[in-house]
Amino acid sequence: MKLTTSDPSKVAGWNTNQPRMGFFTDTSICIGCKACEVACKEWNQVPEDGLNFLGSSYDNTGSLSANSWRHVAFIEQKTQSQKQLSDGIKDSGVRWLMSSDVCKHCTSAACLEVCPTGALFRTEFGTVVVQSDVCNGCGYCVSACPFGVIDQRRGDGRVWKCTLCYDRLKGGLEPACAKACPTKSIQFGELDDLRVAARKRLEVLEASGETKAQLYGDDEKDGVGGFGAFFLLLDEPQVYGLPPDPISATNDISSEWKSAGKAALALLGSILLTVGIKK
Amino acid sequence: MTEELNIAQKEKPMKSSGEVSMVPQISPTSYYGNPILKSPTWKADIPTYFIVGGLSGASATLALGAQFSGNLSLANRSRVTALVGMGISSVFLIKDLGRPDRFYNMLRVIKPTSPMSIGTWVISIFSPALAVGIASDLFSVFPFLGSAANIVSGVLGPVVSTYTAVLISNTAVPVWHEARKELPFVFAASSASSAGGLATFLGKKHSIGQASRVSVLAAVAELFMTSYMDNKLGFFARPYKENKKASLLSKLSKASAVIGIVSTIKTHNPWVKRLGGLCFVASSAFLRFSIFEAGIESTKDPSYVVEGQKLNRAQ
Repeated sequence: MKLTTSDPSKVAGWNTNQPRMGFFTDTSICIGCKACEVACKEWNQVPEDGLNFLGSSYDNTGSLSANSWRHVAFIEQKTQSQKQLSDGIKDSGVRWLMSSDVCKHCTSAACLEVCPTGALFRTEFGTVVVQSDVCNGCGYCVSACPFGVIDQRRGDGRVWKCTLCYDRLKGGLEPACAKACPTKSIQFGELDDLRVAARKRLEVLEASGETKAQLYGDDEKDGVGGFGAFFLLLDEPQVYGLPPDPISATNDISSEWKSAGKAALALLGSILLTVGIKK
Repeated sequence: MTEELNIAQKEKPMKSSGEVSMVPQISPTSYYGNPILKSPTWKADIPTYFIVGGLSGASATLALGAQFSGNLSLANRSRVTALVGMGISSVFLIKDLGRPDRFYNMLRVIKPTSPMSIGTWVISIFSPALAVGIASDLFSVFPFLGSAANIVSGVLGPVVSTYTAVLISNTAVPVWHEARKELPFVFAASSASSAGGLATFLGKKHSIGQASRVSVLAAVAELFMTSYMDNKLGFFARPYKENKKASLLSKLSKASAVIGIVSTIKTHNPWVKRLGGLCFVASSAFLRFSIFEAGIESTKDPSYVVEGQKLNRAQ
C-alpha cells in the first residue's frame, strides 16, 4: 500500500495541524565528529554497541543497529584531481566523504506496515516509532526494512531504532543529534522547508563542480514515497552503504495476496479433485 | 543500460594470467563490502514452521477430500496430523519471538499489510476448527457442528499453507521479494506433497491410495514450480547455485522428490510406498530450508541489493 501523500500522519488518523517533521542531512558539510552518535546515545540511553576497531577509516560503528541510531560513514576516495590549490599546494588526489546515516522515517514504511502487533506506529510528526512496551520481537520489521535500519537488540529481544527523538519533539525541542551537530550537517525542521533548502544547496554544489552531488530520498515518487529523513550525497548511494533504489516491500502486497489466493485455490481444488476420485 | 547489465553478469576473476578480459571489470560499489540489509532475525524455528504448518494446512484439506470420498480412515488420521502439526507449529512460532511471553500481542490488531498478522488470525480459527471436528467425531456429538468445522479447516488449510510465502516475499530480502509471484505456488505444491507423503506413511494399508496420489502429483508440481521460480529469478537465482547450503539443500529436495515419485509409482509394496511418503516430507523440508538459506545469503551480499535494484530499474 504505497502512500503518495507527503503527510502520512493524516493517513494514520492524526487530526492535527502538525506539519511533517524530518531531517535533512547535508553530507557535504559533515566533518565526521560523531557528536550526533554520542548525543543520540546519551539522550536515548542507547546501550554500548561494542568497542571495536573495524579498519574502515574512522568508522568503528559499522552500521545502524539496535544500539546505534546514528552512524557516521567514512569513505576515502581517490580522485583524479591534479588541481593546484594555492601557493604550490597540490590537491592530494584523495577525498574523504562523511555522512551521518539515520532511520529514513519513510512515507511508505515497510517496517510499520508489516508489524503484526501495532508496536510500530506513525506519530503526529509523520515519523515512525516503536513502542517498546508492545513489541514482542517477531523480527518481521527487520526483514522488511530496505535500509537495514531497524534491528533486534541482543539480550533484550525487542527491536529498536531512531525515534526522531519523539519525546523531545513532544516537548518542542529538536532531536539530540541535530542539536549537537556543530556544522548544521544535520538539519531538523518541517519537511517541506527542508526540501526547499536542500534543492538550493544542491544547486550551489553543482555550480561549484560537484557533478555527482545528489539528493537522496527527497522524491515522493520513489519506492518508499520519499524519506522523512533525506540526504544530500556527493556520490552514488551505494558508496555510502545505502540502496540505490529502495522499495517498500508492501507496495506489492495486493498482488502478493492475489498470487497466494490463486495458489490456495489451486491447492484446494487439486486436492479435492484428486482425492475425490475414490480410494 | 549496457554498463549495468555488465555488472549483473559480472565474471569471476580469470585464473590464467595471459587472458585479458575485453569487458571492463566493474566491481560492485559498496561500503567496505558491508551488507546493506539486516539479515532476518528468524532462526531455524521459522523454516521448520513453514514445513510443519504447510503440511498441516494441506492435511486438513486432504482430510476434507477424503471425507467426501468416504475414506474416513484417511480423513481422521489427516485431521489429527493437522492438529498435532499446528500444536508443534505454535511452539516454534512462539519460541522464535524475541519476547515469547508477549506472543498474545499478535492479537492486538488485524493488518492486511502484515501477512504475519493475517496468518496469526487464520491459524487462530484453523486450529480450533480442527479440534472441534476431531472432538465431534471422537465423542460422536454435534455432528452438524463437526461437519461445519471440518469444512472451515479444509478450506482454510490452503491459506495456512500459502500465506507463509506472502510473509517472506513481503520483505526487502531480494531472493524472496523477487519470487513473490511464484513462491505461493511453490509452497502450495510442497505442502500438498508433504501432507500426502506423511498420510501415506501413517495410513492403513488399504486407505493410502488417495494420499499417495496427491503426494506424487504435488511432488511433480513442486519440482516444476521450483525450476520455474529459478528461471524467473534470473540474476536473483544465484544464491541457490552459489551458496553452498542453499544449493545442497535444493539438490537434496529435488533428489528426495524424485526418489519419492519413483518409489511410489514403481511399487505395490506398501512399505516402499511409505518410505516414499517420507521422501516427500523430506523434500518439502529441504526445499523450505533451501529457500530460507538463499534468502539470508541475498541479504549478506550487498550486490543483490545494488545490482538487483539497478536491474529492476532498467526493466
